[in-house]
Amino acid sequence: MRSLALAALTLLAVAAPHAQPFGALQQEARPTVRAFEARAMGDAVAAVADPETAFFYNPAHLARLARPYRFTVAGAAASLSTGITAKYAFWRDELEPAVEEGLDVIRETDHPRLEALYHDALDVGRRQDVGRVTAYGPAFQARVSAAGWEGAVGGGLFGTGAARLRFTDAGAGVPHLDFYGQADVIVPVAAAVRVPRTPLAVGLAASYTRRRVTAKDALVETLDPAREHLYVLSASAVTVDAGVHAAGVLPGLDLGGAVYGLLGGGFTYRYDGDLIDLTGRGGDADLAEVADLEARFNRRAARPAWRLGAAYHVPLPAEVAPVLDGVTVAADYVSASTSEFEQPVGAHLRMGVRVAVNPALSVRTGLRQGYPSFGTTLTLPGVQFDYAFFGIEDGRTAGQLGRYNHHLRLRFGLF
Amino acid sequence: MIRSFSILALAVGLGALLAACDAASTGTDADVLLTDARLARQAGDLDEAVALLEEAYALDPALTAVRVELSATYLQREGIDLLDVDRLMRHVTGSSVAPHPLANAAGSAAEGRAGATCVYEDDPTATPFALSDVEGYADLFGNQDVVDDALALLHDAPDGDLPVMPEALRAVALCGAVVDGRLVYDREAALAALRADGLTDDEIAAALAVNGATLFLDSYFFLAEDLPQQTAWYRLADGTIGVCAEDPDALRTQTEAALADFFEALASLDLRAELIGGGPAREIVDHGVAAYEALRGHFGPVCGA
Repeated sequence: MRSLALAALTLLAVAAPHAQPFGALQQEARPTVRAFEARAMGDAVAAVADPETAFFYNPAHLARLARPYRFTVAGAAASLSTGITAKYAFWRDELEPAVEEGLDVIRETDHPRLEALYHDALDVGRRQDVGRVTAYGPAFQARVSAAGWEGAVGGGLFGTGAARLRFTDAGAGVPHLDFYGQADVIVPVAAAVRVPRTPLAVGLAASYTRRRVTAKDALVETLDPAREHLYVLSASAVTVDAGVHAAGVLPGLDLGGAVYGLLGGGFTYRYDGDLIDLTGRGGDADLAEVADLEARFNRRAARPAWRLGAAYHVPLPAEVAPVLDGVTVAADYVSASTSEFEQPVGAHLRMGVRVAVNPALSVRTGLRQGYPSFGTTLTLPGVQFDYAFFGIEDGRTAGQLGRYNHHLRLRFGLF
Repeated sequence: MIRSFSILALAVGLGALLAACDAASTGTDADVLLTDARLARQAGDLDEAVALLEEAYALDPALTAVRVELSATYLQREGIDLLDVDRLMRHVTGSSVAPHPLANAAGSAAEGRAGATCVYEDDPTATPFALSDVEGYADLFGNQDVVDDALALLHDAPDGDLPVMPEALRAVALCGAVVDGRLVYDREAALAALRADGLTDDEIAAALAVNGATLFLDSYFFLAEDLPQQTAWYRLADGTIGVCAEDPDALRTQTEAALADFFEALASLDLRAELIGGGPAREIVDHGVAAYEALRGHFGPVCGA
């Protein structure tokens, strides 16, 4: 068993990361609702059969549904980078008032204030921060069986919005604003079956996504107090993912894998006249900026991504079994980069541990791209509360440009 | 149980090892080093960024993007920026609000120049000032080597290659280099040359900002510190500048190169303002042109009647 686990891990580790798709927050990113379970567990979930990861991580997990049905009535989640409050305060207290007054006016009347503004922008904003909110609509998962095949089906409604903000030095101390926002409404449906007389389960998930994106990519000095808008472009796409899960290939060992964007997934963005007026002074749309955005958003197409993983259910000694439901150790290799850069092998590795204390409480921890994560879930009748803390790599190599985040979730339903 | 922990330890160890390998793998390709340097700048580690860029520059001195990034990082590390340039320009013009009167009065300033006897010494409305008497000047001058290094990256030509900054940014002739407040140089040729180097518009804007800042500072340092003869500077009641020198004709010869650099600095900032669409970038250029014309009355070649 040890040699098999070693072989599996080695295979995952040496998988070549060439032609990586990009998983960073940007226009071609795969429509996903980030699962708390993955965040807390170092993102190592491909082989850890959990209905929470069935829609967006591995559709085959649906076939392992332990109860006849489960559903979510409603819920909400938020994920915030640790630096986002400082950025928001800078935007609210310094940059937005300055743009409204006019940077050219401030330059003439209060030069030290302009110098402080530029300095603070680069000091506070050089690392990107991400804020994400998710609304959980009705969702269900139910076991089905027919003609000797056992499986499950599911569907749901999700809304998720995310924004990224950073400032870079555009040469000689001039700050450059890089803002990106994205809002998705996602309707996934999934089905999975257990393959008779084998340890395998296979699943498919199809998602319809309506996405709206916006961006502001400009030197701070060019922001126009009389006419500054965020232009909102929109697009729709259908994406099909496939997954496989093998339970107990060896005592305690599960394997799993999934391919994302097997079919579809491409967005073609158009501007339909939606804009957000940043200064409150109206003004016509800047058609040149709109054209630049359309070109930027349609320049790079989505590409398929995949993940492979192994999970080992640790046998518990007799003295521990009464107080713990189970301990699972898992590792994944994820093909997509988490940044705008192609990443080497280590940045694609995920590892995690799940400790199920009892049906109401579980604890997870992990190591993702070298960054630790942890989280806990409390499930009570009709309500579930989660908290996770996790790190993610925004650079090229693990440990280069890390970002830590908090993730909170509250849902109502039957879990 | 022991076997389980062995597997867990193996998995954690392997992951940590690979992550550590990633952290150590800065790569040797100049493009990879450039990427890592940009990430180091984002992380705020400017010493690391400079080290990576110097390594990339050593590997491929002809890679224009590396030279631009390294020059910008040199300035960023020492806190030198365009607002410093703006502050010095304001000091030259002596006006924090409206530069235009000086621009219009450049000719009269030239006529006010003195010979061996300084005509402003006994003028009760003329206020003496020094170029170095401005907030932050000492720190800026203390970084003269950094300015020189950044300039060299943009102006030195690697073997068989061209410098980053095109010749088209230079004035064809200092006489007539500014007409109706507008700089006379070949904008299209300058931009085409920069794009032909493979630079993106963002990189071009950065290169022009660095070139403008460093050339201006270099010529400013020369006027403030290195003139071979004693000069005295005055702000006059009509808003113009008066400069006295022992040998005004010699002064014009001595300052011709600095004036040409000043012009190229302004042309760089002017082209950058066109590229990014104006705003305060244009205001800085307008102020710079006013300063240039004020100095032009005293420095550089004598132009036609």
